[in-house]
Amino acid sequence: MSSLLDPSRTVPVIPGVETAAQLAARTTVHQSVPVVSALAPLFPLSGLERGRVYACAGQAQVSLMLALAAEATQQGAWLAMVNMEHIGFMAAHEHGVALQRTVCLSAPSQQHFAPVVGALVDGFDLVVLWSPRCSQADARRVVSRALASGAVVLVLGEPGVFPIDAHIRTRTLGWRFAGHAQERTVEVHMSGRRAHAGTTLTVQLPGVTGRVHAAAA
Amino acid sequence: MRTVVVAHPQWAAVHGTKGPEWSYQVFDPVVRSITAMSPLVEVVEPGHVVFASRGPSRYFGGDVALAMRVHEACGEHGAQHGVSHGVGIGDSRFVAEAASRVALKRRKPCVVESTVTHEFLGALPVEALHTLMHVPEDVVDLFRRLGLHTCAALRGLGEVALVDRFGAVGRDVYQLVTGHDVVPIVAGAAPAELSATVEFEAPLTSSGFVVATARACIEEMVSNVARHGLQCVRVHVLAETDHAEQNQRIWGDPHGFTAPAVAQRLQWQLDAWFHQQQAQPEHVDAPTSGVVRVQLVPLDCRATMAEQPMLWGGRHQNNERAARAVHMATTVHADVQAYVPQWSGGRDVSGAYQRIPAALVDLHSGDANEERVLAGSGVPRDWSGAVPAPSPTTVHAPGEMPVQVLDAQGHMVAVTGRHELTAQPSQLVMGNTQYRVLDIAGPWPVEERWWDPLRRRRMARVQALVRHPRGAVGVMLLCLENRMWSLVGTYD
Repeated sequence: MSSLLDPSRTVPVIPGVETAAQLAARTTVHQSVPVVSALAPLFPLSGLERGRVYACAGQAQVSLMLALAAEATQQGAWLAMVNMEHIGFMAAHEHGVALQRTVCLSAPSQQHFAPVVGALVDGFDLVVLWSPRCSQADARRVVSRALASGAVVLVLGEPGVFPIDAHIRTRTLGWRFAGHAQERTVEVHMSGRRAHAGTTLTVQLPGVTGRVHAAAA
Repeated sequence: MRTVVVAHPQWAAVHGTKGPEWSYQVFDPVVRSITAMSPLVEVVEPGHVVFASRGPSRYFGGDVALAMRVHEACGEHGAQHGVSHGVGIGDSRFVAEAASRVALKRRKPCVVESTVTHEFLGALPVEALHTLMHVPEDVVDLFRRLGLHTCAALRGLGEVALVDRFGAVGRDVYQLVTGHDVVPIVAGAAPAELSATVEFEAPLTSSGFVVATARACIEEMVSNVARHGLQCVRVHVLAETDHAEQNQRIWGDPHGFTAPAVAQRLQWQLDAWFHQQQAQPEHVDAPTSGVVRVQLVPLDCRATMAEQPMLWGGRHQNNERAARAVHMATTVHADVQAYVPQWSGGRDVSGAYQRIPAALVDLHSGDANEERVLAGSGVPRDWSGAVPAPSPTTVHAPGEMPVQVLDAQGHMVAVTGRHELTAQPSQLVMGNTQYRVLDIAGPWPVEERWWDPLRRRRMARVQALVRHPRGAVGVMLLCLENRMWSLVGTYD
């Protein structure tokens, strides 16, 4: 009798398809997606919370996004970037993003944006959107799908009507420019419903190694 | 069935670093010299060919004569690439595989006669089951810990005990150690409902066109198999021209074929065939017309259960989910494009990683994904004359975003033949915005292919620390080409 109740015996394994039990296990056991230690103080769970929408803004938004994605992709997570035609892969590599698990998509038409992102949040752990353009209803549908599948959505550029759980703003404090651009000091400010109220952090983004560093006090 | 195995075990180590595409291209002459003796061969992977000995052996006067012939034919190519090879013939695939490794050591072909198969197999260590026949490593490890060190010891256990303890794997192991084939090397009539065929209205003479047009057929074959809860590990690919010339080959993939993987094999096979048309048009096997028909027959399938996520860890499952999501997203509309980075090197920040369509790569395979983005031995990681790290996070192709770089008097700044700036830049105009230049670094000159009048490029890159009229400080990477400055990268 017990063999009948064992899901692994009755449900055939189809690649890429999970049973509800497996999905629940994956989304509840790991409630957050890990980030590098320099940025961990920003987040209550020391990582990006699954199913949440974060907006990155300011003068270092792309670097911040790459720094946030680096640790998770190194550990096996997949990263999708939508409508980021001009992303510098070299910089992504220097920030530590595992490019072997990175896919870029372009969805030029507003009408196809929501279905594309909806499909992506089902299979990717991190989905980056550049200036999402869709109706409020579509945006809500995408967000609830992300919540169900446990994907983290990072919004860059203009968030538009996209409902944002937390805003991460960046401000350049200065560049060290000796012979060539070497490192940049950036103030990162976190605010929103899902955050330590008004956490501010000063980091080198990028630091001398190309990755994010905690700023020297 | 008596089987011939030609193995170049170091092939992957020598040529694999430049990617499977290159590895196969270099191997193709070897395959062609073997198909001259036996028309239907199975290419397990570059460096590894298997075929049935029956027909060719009778034609060339026995197994020993055939083995010598194959050994010599492969020797010519192997010597060019510095890769040694072994030719083995035996009663089953496992015997032939083991014989080919013996041949490799002896540097001459090894033929295992039917009368000595029993002793030959018995002396093999159990590790050979994993390295040669892909029996799961944990099972082999368990054999060893149980004190079963040779195949003779396993055979002594008997079929009942093996099946009782290890199930289907145990049955396969017993078949192997008693000198039987688990799957026939060339299957007889294939199950018709699993195969797929596509016919073209007009003959197609480019492998790219054939693969693109046959894509639906490939997906049909893969989904036919998947519908039965199976995945295909060997596929018979046949292409036929307008003049009824046929080119057939068996391809293997121990991880199970996905649609892009089959498309890739079809492309390799057709490239080789069309190449022959150009290189040796008078050859018997060279096609004289375009391809009108492609047939795909799955020969060997196994239950998808074999890829249980619990056994392989979560990473593999992640690849499956991502590949499936990309497939779903790209089927939304034809305008939706998915692409992945591939390392190509160079001094140009926007060209260091090439963008290749995701449909052409196998996202399931972690190794292939890794290989794609790492610097192979062909393309170095460090290029002299490249702009030093950190690299810009947003990149543009030169000429895409024109800017004006002006000195204090409002004249355009240029770069001399000695790669020096003609004046100190003081402002930068892009559209209606004027930036003040605070500091400048470079120029980093690039002179590429100066010997080629059509493809030569001469440009200079400059990094500028600028202040926006509203006070923000930023860094821009600028490029001067054909007396035109353009923005090629920003650090945002």
